[in-house]
Amino acid sequence: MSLLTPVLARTASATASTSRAFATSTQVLAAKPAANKRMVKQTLGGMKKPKVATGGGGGRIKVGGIALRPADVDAPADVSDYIQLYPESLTVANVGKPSTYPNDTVRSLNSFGLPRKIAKEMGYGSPATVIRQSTVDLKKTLDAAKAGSSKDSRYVLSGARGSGKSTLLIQAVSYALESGWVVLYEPEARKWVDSSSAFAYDDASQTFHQTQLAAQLLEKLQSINKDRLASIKLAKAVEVGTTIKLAEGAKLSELVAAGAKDERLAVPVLEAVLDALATQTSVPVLFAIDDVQCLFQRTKYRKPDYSLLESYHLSTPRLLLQYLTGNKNFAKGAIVGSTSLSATDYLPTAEFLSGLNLETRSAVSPYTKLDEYHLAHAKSGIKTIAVPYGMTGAEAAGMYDLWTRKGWTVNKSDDVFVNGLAQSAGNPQEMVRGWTLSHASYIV
Amino acid sequence: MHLLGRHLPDHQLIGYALKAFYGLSHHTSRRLLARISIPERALVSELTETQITALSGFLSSPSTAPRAASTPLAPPLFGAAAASSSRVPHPSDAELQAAILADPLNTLLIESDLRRSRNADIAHHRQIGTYRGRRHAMALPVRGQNTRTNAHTAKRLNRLVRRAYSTSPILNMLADAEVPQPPSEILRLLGKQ
Repeated sequence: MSLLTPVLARTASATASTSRAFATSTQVLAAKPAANKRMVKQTLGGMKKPKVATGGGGGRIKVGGIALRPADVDAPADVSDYIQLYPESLTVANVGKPSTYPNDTVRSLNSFGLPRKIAKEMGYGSPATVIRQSTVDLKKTLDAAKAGSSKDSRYVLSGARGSGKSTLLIQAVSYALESGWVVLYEPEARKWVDSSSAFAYDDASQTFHQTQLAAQLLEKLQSINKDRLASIKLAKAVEVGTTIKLAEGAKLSELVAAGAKDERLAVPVLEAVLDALATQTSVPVLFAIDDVQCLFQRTKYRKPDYSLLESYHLSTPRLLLQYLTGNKNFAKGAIVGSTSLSATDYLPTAEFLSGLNLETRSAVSPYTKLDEYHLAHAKSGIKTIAVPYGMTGAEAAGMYDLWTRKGWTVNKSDDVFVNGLAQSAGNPQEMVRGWTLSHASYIV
Repeated sequence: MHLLGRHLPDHQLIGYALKAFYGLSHHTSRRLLARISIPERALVSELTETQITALSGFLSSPSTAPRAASTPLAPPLFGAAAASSSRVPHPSDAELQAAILADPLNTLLIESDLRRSRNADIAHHRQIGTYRGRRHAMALPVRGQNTRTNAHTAKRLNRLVRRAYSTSPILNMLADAEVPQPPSEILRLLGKQ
């Protein structure tokens, strides 16, 4: 019990700060906003589209020609008594507890963007999640990585469809943001390879430069890590093109801002920024990327002669591959990727899976043709972290609590919970389908 | 957006919208996008000035447009190619020639050029007296379809000169010329004269 005391104290303080007492003391809090950053007000309503409801759709109500869903009419669920997902909340004692993301993290995640399904889930009410054993384990892994080179901390989250890989990655991002890391998170790396943004051949680097993408990444990096980037000084003078010249000792944020402003120079600037981040040792760096399998296969971009380009021929995927394969390394930090099975155009290839010693989708024999370069990239010493197929009973119970609180399950009985858990073997995605879509869940 | 007199709706994918040009299929338009490095999933509204200039430059004269630029690519980060050399060797002349012939954009005809070429083909058939040429001249189906009923499309379209405003002297000459008939001896034997 004595071990639990600090946790409980923390929980109690978080609860107190997020209690409804705020409603009557707006001005008092407004007067000293910077006094305690963690003095979290009532969790803000949602990510980008607070009106989107998941799970519990329900019928429409017609009011004077305007179609309303019950979800639009009801106030978002009050989850202010949940613990907040601060680094110190990630303990074994808290496994299975639903928790809300801190407001600062929510803002940052909004800027980064989220995978489509998760954005939908988080879009209604306060963004919340469940702490799992794998969350706590990954936190420990990142803690250990904080002091060392990213060469030894290159990870890919693997697991079955719907097992919570992307959610775990977001929890890791949240942890890093709250712990003062410099974070760059890409929720949908498929957008780097699906021939959707401008690209142009660059003779010097013999790659195709994705200028728009690089500028967007710089902008995100700047908006989310501004203070941390400002605290980092350039170790040597940087000159990019003819316009950007920064002396030794200048702030790294100046370089990022200059690159985000001038799209033509964004690609070399992004490279210079990552080089600078790689050499500094004051702040650890987390590079988190979802859909990571997209970097180990052929892209949809084409050369002028109509042949398809490989991922390592495009500036952005190549830059990330350099860090992911250990070709370049952050002095302090980690790189965590997550495979995604929701990008059906870019399912993990045999090269990627066999290179990482994961189970391939079809048998690989010595006669199977594998692209040697993608295979070599995958075999570069990236470690895998297996996300379990299903949740434990405690984790599932936490998730059910969250789902019923948000009003996404119609029937809130124990039967529905147990049925969903048993039928899905705890796989979060399937379990939620059982809770929200099965026949039993509608018999109230 | 209007490009060379054609309307390209802003909300469409550029590869799809380019089908507004006579002679550009979705296959050729995809190749064209690759040639001038426009992403396939770009919308018409997202095109930059440079891209629009490149598009109109190509479409206004496909035959004189520059060939696909050589783009030697950096080696992968690991593997044999990464170790061997940093620069990819230049292709031989024969390889270049083969690549030029293989690319349909290098012989692309669109709009009036394509119409003229097609009319000339029909005129050629007529001139050398083939069955196809005769069927064209008689405004009947060319490829063995029935004519007892239907065949309206052929009756509407099959002409030596499809467009009234054509200025080709050969076609005008052919259009006025009498349709050659088999020798009268044969027609008499067939009981048709």
